[in-house]
Amino acid sequence: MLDTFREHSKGWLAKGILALIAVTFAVFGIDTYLQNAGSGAAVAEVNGNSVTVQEYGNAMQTLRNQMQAAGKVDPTLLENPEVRQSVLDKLIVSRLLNAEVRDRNFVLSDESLSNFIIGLPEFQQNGKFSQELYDEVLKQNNMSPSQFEARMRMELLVQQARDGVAAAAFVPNSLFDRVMQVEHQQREISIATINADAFIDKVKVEPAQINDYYEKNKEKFRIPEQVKIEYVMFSANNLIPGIQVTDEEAQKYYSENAAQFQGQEQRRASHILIGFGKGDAASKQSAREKANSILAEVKKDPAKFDALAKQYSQDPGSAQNGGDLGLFGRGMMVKPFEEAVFNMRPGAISDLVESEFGFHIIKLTEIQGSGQSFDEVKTNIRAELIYQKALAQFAEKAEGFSNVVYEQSDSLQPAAKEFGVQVQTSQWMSRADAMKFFKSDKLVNAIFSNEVMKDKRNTEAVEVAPNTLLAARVVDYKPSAARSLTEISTALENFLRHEQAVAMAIKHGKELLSSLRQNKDAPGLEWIPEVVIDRKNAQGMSDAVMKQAFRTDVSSLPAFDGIENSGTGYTLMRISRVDNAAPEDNDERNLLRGEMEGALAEEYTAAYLAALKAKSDITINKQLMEVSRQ
Amino acid sequence: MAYDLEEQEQLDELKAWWKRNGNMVTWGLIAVLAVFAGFQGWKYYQRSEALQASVQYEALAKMSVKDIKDIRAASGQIIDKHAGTSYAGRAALIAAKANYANNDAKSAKAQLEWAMGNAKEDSIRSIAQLQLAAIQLEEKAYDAALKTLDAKHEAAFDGLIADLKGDIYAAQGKKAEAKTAYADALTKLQADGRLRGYTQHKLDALGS
Repeated sequence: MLDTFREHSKGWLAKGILALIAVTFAVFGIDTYLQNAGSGAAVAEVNGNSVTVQEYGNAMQTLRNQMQAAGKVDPTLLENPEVRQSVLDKLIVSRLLNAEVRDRNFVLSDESLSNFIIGLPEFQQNGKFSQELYDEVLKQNNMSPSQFEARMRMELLVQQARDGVAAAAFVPNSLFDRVMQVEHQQREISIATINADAFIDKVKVEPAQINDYYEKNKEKFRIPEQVKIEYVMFSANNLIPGIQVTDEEAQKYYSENAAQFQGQEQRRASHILIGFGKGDAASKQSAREKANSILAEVKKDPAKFDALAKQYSQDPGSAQNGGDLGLFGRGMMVKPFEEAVFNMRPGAISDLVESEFGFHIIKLTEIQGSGQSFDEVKTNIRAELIYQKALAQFAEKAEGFSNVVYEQSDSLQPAAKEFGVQVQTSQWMSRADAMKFFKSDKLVNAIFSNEVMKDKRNTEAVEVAPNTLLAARVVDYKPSAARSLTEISTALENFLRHEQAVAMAIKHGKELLSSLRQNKDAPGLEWIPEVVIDRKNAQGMSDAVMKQAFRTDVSSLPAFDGIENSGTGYTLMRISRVDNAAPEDNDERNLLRGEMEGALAEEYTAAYLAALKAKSDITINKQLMEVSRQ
Repeated sequence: MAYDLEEQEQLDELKAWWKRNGNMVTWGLIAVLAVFAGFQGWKYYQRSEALQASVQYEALAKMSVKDIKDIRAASGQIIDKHAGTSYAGRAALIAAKANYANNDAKSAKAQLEWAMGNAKEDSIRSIAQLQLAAIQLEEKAYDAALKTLDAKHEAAFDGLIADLKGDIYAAQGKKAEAKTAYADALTKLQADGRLRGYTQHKLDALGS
């Protein structure tokens, strides 16, 4: 990049760019220039005002936090392009509103602003605004009062502008009444179905018809091209049998991951401490002797531990309590002490334990919470370690596997031999079969490429699943072929028979509908007993019937209508009564009116924002949006 | 201070030039400064206007529809004294809604007509237009309502306009026109909005 720049720096373009940079410096100072360069590229530009990658990342992060707080932890939701777009959209809308509020001279009095801030629960202590709390919270959020107040002012103004639009919505009475009539209408309905099955026997499918259909739809009945393949699969699992794990390694893992295995376990112990005195070798030796003699006494009669602790222990904090230290978890005591305590059985008394404080004689009195001993988890740890090692080996060998497959591209045997895996052979499979079998677009595309299918070369090693490489080659190939008529003629005949039966049912249904509409008889129909439906109560009617039932023209009753049922026949509908069931109760009407006004308000707001957008110059950098995954 | 000959010459030239043009330059500078000061003053004036209007508007927005007297007084103040601010158009909408709720459609229409012609924001004018037509529809002044809707408006409000046109045609018994208008509205209203549900049902009710 810089090289190209230098090469052309005598050209007019470079001069122009340099001039622009110079002007930017002159007008805004070097700071703004660097700031803009540093804060990252723009995911979107709104009238020349950037929404930076950083801002967008923060917004995504906020959403993630909100989702987590709400107990939703599906992280793939945040990868959804629509979700990402809507997050960006919010930022763009907020930019637009900020600009609109400024341009249209919306202003907020200082009094309103301070009233609002004073009322925020975040800054209240004992129900009153606290200046100290205010300063503290702002400091924690790295904001000066003037920054915070400016931001609040902007938010309140945006609210004023947007809410004002929504609040304007109202629905006049006549319109409301009409909508209520539409929404709360009841219709009494009966239906009669005409099933294709009843016509099957009447259908005659001529050989010519089958032939004709076959000729016209030949392409649909083609057998797709098929391949038979050989493949080798190399995965971390293949390596497991050859891996050894020693007890020492397992033990090491256990102690390194103590927190995981010992969890919330807490232990309670008492101790007798004999300090080193002056700390020189002689006093240390005498301390050891004294401790040993106490230990002998304790071992002789463990019940006297408390009394001995009171008498001898040099830990003033615990001696009075018979040496009791209370409950503690891992990481709270000096290391040698902890090691001893967490390896004892309840009631046991330790030998001398030396720590920086002196010699301890320890008695474990209680264990709370669950921990797992090494023996309990040894097998699991070994399995875990074996798998980790297999993964590490796999990572080392994967490249080699890929290379062998690539370099010796006319056979899979060398790779199989070198990496100790089997060459396997598949059945005949089409592209769709292969997709079902391997579940990897990349591999299937490679298999059905000319190089592999026609030239019989190995595919590259494709990662078909985590830590699993697969390479394949085509050993046999059948081109796509048409199915012969004799092969499929029975199936075609059945299909055509059914098609025609459905068509006859529909035709019959339509004829009956037209007779019914002319008040003529329509014999042979089985009408179900009438039910009364409204938009929210289907009474067992299908969605398709419900949809049509409220569209049927009911200017004269009974009204008849019908719908085609794809694949089965026809449904006739008879509507015998229409009732206006709009609620008369005032409270209920007010509620419904509120609902409708709410819907109108939403639409006003959406139109208001859409109008702002339409007037603005907005560009979105899609690629950047895709890659900015915070 | 000693100048060499060339410098002396340049200095003389400059003096001569200033003698010829100095007056004009000075006046020019004064004019530029005056315009600048005027502009700043104008901005300051606008801001203080907007600030007064904002305080009154905030109070107005909080009033209950039942306090129609207060609403009339407060909105009148803003519309009369601060017609140049964005708040005036919005105050007119609030007053119209309150007047309609208190069975004074005539005043409501007057306020909406004013907002339609005078509000500073295009969107507010479009909303006023919709609401004026809705009241005209209620008064069965169908032609007037359609004419109101045909006036220029923000394209973003096309869906709402088409929906209301459907209502007017339906009230007139013009089924075909109503169906076309509702169908048009359904293509323009927000895809995930609640209002389109009502529109779809109104369309269904016309029969198909």
